[in-house]
Amino acid sequence: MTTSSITGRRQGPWLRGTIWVLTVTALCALLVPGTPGAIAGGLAVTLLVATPLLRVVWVVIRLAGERDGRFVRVGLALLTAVAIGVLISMFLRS
Amino acid sequence: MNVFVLMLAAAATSGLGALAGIGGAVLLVPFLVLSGMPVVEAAPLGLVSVAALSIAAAPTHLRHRVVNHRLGITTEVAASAGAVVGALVSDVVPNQLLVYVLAVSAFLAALVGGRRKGLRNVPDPSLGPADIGERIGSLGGAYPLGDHVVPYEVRRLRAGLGFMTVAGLIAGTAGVSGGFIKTPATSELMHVPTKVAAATTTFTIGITAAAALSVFAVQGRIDTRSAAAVILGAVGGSILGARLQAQLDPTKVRLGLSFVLVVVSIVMVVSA
Repeated sequence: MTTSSITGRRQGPWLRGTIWVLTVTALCALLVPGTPGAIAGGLAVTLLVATPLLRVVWVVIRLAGERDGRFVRVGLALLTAVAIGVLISMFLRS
Repeated sequence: MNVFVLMLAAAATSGLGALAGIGGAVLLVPFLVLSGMPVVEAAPLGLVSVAALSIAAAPTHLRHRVVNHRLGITTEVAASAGAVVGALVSDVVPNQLLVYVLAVSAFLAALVGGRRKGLRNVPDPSLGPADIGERIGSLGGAYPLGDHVVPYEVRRLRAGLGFMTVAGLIAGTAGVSGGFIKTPATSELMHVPTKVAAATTTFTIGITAAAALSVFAVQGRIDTRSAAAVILGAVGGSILGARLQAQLDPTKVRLGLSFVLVVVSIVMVVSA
């Protein structure tokens, strides 16, 4: 079997940048009053939820690049499970 | 609760959790519940601290090349499905039952933290640095251990997926990461080296948290100001905890934290 080139090292700078943006937006949410603070808080939470899912998207793209179809399907199944959960909760809320 | 108290609590629990390698939510959520916050409000904040810890710890784990992404996404299908189901039912489950789930979770984390095993996989002298990483088309791989390279294969995948589903359900209902189930299941049951199991779990707990938080966001259960306080505390605490981890005896830290978790679980059961 061949060793995969997926190490995740290229994610490092992006994740370090994400930590800084998270810190700044969370600080703004606490220190800035009114609507701008609320928007900053919403941005921080959105970034926090999106980042792990974007890491999965990144892995699926890299797996597709290595033509590892079995694990591409696994990754897509994972993203589908999360999407179905969101859709069900939207349906139940409405 | 005052946001600055919340930030300090998130920093302290994430720091302690990072020191012991079990995450901070298993301490933060019981603290919030014992302070008078209902579990349905505390659970999203616990998962916010889990996702923040997962992102903060990622660059170090990726640099050491010990995250197995193929294994992570495979086990995460079960865990995320469990987390979504847990999050969907958590607002109709009685608070008292959730407190019991949380107390059992804290007790399990104490047991796991108190008895962790050593090396199972041995270095292969025929392997070199080029062999480090995942293998295409497989769940196995090889990881660096000092100057050596250690190969590993994944066993008992179906049983492992069962444990991941339980971990996801607990994460979605009680707001703790479930890492205290995932890491030992991956390491002891599936025979993945502890370093790889812990790093892969840190990758996957972020996904589990994101899956449950997506549902909580739609349900309108995330207070963004409180979440911002937890993010600040969790990022700072987990980075500091990870740095301190290198200087302290990990066995003593885990035993000390196990004692605290046992006390927390007893207090929660009594208060419920």
